[in-house]
Amino acid sequence: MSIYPDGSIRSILGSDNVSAATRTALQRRMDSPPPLQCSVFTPHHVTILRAVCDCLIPPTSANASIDIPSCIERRLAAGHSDGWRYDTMPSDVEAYRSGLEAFDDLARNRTGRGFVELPRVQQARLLDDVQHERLGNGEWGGPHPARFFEELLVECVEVYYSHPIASEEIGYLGMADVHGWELIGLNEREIREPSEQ
Amino acid sequence: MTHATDTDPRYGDVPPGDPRALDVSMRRYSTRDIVDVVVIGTGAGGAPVMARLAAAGLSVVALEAGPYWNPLQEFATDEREQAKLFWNDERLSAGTDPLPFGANNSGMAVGGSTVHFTAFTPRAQPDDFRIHEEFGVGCDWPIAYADIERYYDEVEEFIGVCGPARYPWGPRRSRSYSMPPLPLNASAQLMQRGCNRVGIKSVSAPNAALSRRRWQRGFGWRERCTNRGFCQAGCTTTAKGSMDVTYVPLALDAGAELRPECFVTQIELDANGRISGVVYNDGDADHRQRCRALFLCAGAIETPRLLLLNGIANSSGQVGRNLMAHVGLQLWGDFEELTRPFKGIPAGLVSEDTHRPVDADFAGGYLIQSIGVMPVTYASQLARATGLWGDALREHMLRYNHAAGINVVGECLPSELNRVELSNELDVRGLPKPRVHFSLGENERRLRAHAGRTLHSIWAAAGARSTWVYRRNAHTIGTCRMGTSSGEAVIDRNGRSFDVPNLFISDNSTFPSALSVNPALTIMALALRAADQFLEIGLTDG
Repeated sequence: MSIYPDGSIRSILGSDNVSAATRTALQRRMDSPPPLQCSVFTPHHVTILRAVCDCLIPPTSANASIDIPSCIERRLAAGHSDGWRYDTMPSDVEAYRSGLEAFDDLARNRTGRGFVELPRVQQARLLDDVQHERLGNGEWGGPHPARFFEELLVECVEVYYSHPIASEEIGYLGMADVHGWELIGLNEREIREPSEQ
Repeated sequence: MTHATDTDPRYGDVPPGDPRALDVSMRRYSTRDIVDVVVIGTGAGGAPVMARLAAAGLSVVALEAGPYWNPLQEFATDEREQAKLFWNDERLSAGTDPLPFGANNSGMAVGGSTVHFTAFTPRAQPDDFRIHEEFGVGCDWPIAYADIERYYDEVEEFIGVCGPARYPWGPRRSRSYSMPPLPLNASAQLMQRGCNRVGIKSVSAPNAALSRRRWQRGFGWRERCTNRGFCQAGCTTTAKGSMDVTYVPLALDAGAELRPECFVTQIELDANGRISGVVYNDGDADHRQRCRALFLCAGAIETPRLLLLNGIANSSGQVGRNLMAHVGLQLWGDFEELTRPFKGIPAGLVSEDTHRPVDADFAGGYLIQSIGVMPVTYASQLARATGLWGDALREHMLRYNHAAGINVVGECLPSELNRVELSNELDVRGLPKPRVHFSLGENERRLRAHAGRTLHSIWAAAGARSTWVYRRNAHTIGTCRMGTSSGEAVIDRNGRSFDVPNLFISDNSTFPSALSVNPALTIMALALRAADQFLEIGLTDG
């Protein structure tokens, strides 16, 4: 389900409603990301990460091109920080690696199968248990589970909702601001804002 | 939107606000010179100092860790792209209520955190400076509202703060706001509706954003706000009164030199214990700039960090201590109406009826403001606060255009527990990362509970269907506090270090109490006062 018609934001990007700086940033985001370098993650890590991201932000026919794992790996490989981490957490790279391995170990311990082999529903239950720390002694070998889950979820969410496809999904046109906004009150819609579906 | 100054030859080859102006017209000093003053940091605390001292004829070199952005060309209307504005060097966050850094906390740019602040610029009230006298807790300021009132007037006039014709709280203003307030967005209209129904007074908020275009001395034309609501991701129109389009250009025009992307690592003392200069890295090499005086204006995390790194100015043991962060509880609601919450000046409406609630079981109080929000920030906060994910998160986000929020800015008392220290972990620059400890105390928890009840009643009256709460603490304050005694404070009432006679601090680390308002305007007013005191008193052997 999408609030704005498919492709409506993507077509506005080329208009004079969008500044050059904005267009460049969003176009770069939409262009196919380079393939995963596997410099930070092993292929095994990547399959687990992909499965986890698919639980956190379920894929649809519309959003398949938003490659969250690639964005995360690129950020980690470049050494970019968002300015902080919880003191109780290891470095971002270490947290991701040990956290992803811990998801897999948890799955194997509980079901005998690896995380990616499980159906989505079972994967989701495991994630829920990690998020709420419903973990027995010795079940979790990764970083602080609730914190790790929170940081991972927030990163996925920020990557996803930065993408123009997600903007269409939620009906957001703020990037088309060159001429400013006059109609900013309750129930007001500027002409260039598509009608909601 | 084109600007006359972009292409109009009457304005010369280089448009104002373009960093290339630095090459063309800026006065430059040499590292062989001993300049009068080095200023570290060009945010709300450093930029007014730069401008005031340069205008008085002193030789001033400002060192800024971040770049000098040209907002007209280089700012995108995109949150992720604009993460480049923030202080993204990693900080370690500890305590029971760890503070989030990076986004919307600290800036690394010419203009500092004003480049990403929300433009909301209320004044403190006189009793904000006397929490201990009134309640027996916390710490009083060694100055009073009366000492900075005229500086509030001056800053508001200079950077352009718009506001209502009459402001019902605080002392009678000598001059009312000189520009009409900005239009109310959906969340402001909803807060107004809710406040009216529950009997809380509210008015258009004072904001450092132009409601009409004007000529900015030292800069050029600044345009009026276009309601794009991206203050926290960088204003692209020059409407927001951040330091890079106000005090910094004024300073350059008066002969100050600005060196962007220069990170100070060392403060050097001579044999008499006075500062002789600083060492900074410009990305290629270390350089030494000698000076007769130093104004350290790097903010409540980086100012104490630099002092701790260099082991100076801390006979009181208070450097890095007394860290405070406002109770910044936010309440979000889902409304039947369309809100499109990214539009408009984010803090459109304010109430200070809760400044000192009569039924309070805590010291101090809080203000209430309406808030707009950009989508990635909203989604991120939603995930962090509620833990929603999967289809539940997606469904909630489909209601983004029906979301509206309000938040408080509430008092925080200093505590033994709350401080900045150096960790053993080195950052990308090879410097110890700061570790920041923050835990709410009983006073903050009681204030937060009271604020939560108030916000819920306003939002219910406004028609909110479902709500969610974001328990946040905002604005880092107090880590090099001013005071009357060298045993309990780092600097005196004029910003001078008790230990090092030619060291001055001007930023939010100097606050002995948090105040129940956002700090930016007060930081700027204090900066002008500190500069004037410095000019009047001069340098002594201390």
